[in-house]
Amino acid sequence: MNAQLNPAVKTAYNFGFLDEYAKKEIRRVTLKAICIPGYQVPYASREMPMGRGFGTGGLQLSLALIGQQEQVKVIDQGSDDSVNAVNLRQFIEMTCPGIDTTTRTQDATLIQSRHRIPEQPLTEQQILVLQVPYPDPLVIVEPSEDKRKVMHGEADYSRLLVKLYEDIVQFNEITISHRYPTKINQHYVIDPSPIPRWDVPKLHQSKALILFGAGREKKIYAVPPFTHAEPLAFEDQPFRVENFDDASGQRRACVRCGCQDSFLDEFTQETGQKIYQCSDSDWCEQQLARRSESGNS
Amino acid sequence: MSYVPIKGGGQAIAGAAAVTEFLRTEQALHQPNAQALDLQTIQFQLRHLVDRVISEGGVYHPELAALSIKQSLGDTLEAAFSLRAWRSTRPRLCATPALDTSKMRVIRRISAAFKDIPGGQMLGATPDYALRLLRMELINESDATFQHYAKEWLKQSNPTATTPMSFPKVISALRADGLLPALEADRTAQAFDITREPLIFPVSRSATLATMARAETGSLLALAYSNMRGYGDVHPTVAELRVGYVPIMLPHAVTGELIEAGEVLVTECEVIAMYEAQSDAKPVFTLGYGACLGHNEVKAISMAILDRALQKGKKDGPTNPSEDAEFVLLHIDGVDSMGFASHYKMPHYVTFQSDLDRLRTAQQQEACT
Amino acid sequence: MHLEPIWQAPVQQQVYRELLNAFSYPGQVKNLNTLIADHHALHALLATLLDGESRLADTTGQLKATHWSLLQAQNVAVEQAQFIVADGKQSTELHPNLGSLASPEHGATLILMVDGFYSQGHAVSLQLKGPGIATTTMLDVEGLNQQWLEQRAQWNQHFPLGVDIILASPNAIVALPRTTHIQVQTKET
Repeated sequence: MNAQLNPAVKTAYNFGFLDEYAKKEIRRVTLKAICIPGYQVPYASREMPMGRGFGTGGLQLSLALIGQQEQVKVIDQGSDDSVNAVNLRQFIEMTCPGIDTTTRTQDATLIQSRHRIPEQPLTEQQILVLQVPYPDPLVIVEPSEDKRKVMHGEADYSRLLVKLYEDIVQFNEITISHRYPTKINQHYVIDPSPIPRWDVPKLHQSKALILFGAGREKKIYAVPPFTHAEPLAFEDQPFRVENFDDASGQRRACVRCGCQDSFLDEFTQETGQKIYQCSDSDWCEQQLARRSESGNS
Repeated sequence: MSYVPIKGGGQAIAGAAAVTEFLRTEQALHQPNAQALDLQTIQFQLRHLVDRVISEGGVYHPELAALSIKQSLGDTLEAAFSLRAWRSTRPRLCATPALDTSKMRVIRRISAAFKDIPGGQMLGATPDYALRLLRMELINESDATFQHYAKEWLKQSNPTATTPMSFPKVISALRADGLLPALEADRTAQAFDITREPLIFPVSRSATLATMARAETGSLLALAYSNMRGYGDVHPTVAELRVGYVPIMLPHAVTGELIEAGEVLVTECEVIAMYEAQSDAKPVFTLGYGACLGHNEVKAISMAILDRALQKGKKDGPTNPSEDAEFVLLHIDGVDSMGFASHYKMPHYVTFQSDLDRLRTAQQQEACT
Repeated sequence: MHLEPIWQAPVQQQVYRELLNAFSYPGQVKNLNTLIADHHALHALLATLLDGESRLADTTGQLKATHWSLLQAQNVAVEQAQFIVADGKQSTELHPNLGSLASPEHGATLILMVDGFYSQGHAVSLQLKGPGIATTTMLDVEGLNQQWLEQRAQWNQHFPLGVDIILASPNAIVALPRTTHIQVQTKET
């Protein structure tokens, strides 16, 4: 006998969809991941009703975390309304009856996200879960997982650094855009998931716990709060975030809210003209509200 | 309890579900008395399709396999996916002891290694020697003809007392003659449960076989074929291929005595490959084993060949993809592979924006030099 | 059939959140009183984390047959255990699994039973640094034999190998992952 459903609540699925044994395995693995910052802990990874590659790893983390008082935010590409986010959020609403879902970043206790970290800085009361397609940054230099594990254990990233150096020789730049390899707690280098470079600095000394779930690859890893997180770079090639300057060197603003310090999505209009808008839809909403309140337009 | 209001993304998803359901039921517009697919129709008349989905879904439930085929409009990858996801929600009650396939209630059993075998070669229901000519008379098959055949066949078939209920394994004789390695003495080893533990390479043979047993048929076939054609040297001979119903023995809740709880359709294939030297023993033939739920011979044969190839790769180091355990085992799961192939259709515009930034910078650098 | 709170799914989820918080912010004391009523925090931890796949070693002998059958965990020697229960007051020399370079997660989780997290006669005062701690944090533990900290230092000297520790008093827990640097503060008389 182990944890049981409350027999008074008859539903087709357990609260949180996963059975309690699945949750336990995920919970044990998650705690170990926090103890070994950046190390990819293997787990059995249950199949979910959405495709592998659609966030099943992040979802399993969330479903093992979620409790009755949870306020859950789900975003994809920074937007709460993106189809992937909508699908996941509806699934969570269906399988976790009684919880609240929200778009407001500061109101969320749990945020599951694909490819972005919210612009709004997170607090100790929040947990961020990132969806990961490729957990291992060494996959570009070594296809064998067996060999990669030894390299990680020894913190031997020389072949990765050589690859970055080759980029510089060829292109005068490190060409990695998203999934920028980042060293955690001065040992393990992680693939921070396909977040843009813009979001990588948010991993360093974060107030909130950041969890990474790869469902298909069956790995969970973590960047604990207040932990050193350093993107790989060279002395003469420092890490750089994306550049949103226009031709005259002026930093572009969001056409909707006017913000000049958020990651922007580029749209080409039918006229051929390009416009730019905040990728983080909730941030944009709140900036817009703030500006209308203070009378700026 | 408050939820995020439904906007554009949610409406698109609802619309997609509605139009898919339209396609599923569209027949009624063209045929006024069109009927919804009956699950029994699928189970009986599309049995190999059902068997494939059972095997790839990883749970023996013919009725739900039929349902998953119905709701996915015949997409085998989607059907196996839905069944696997359902399986994921089922709690584990207990594990049976290892099933004894020599007790199989055989419906087909052949050997390529010998002209005749104890119990005889039983061709059974197979298209192997049929002519693949389209049977045009089935286009307007009448209900009367359809309903007549099975009854007549049963009347004329003549089960005799000399037809055995089970057949000895061909390789038992080979083993008794010392031509195959002896079975391991330790019979208490636990099977590796791939649904509970992750694969950490190098993996046991138990984990390898379990992973292949619910792998996607085409993926297994392609990799086995590569070995057959020369990217490898298994050179198999089918010692035995058998298809039939294996009894499931469960321990009684109180007495612990094993009771037959039912039976499942299983396909099992044992191939004999090149002989190899053994340290301080005579050289023997090597064996490859494949088995899966349902009637799926191509899958069982492919599995057996890959089992042999992977054993060789583990022992001598892989010289071909089919001998490399990581290459084979991590790329044959249909749910994983189709999921990832499909995920490329999801929005990737933030990562693409990041790529644009990199390329523009690199182009600028190029222009400066 | 009435189930004690520690065996109920919603309670286990909340205990898990406290554990997650404890490991994320090492040194912070997490009180489980409101969740687990009369149960010892140790039992809440074991009930929440363990199942039939887990391997547990109980060096205290406190766990009874009824506990074992409810937990479903496999009863193994310390060297094979994923989880080890020990008495914080008495240091016994243990040889837990420290994990390997390729698989450091095999390093065991040691649960040490202590009296409490306050300062009284025999408390140890610890200064903690490392992941999860903004600068440093102070922790007083009553009922912890310092030799445990010496053993821990041995086990954890070659990161990523190591043992992760949970201190469990009757109603509260503190987590000390292998990444936490511990300095014992000597008392000024």
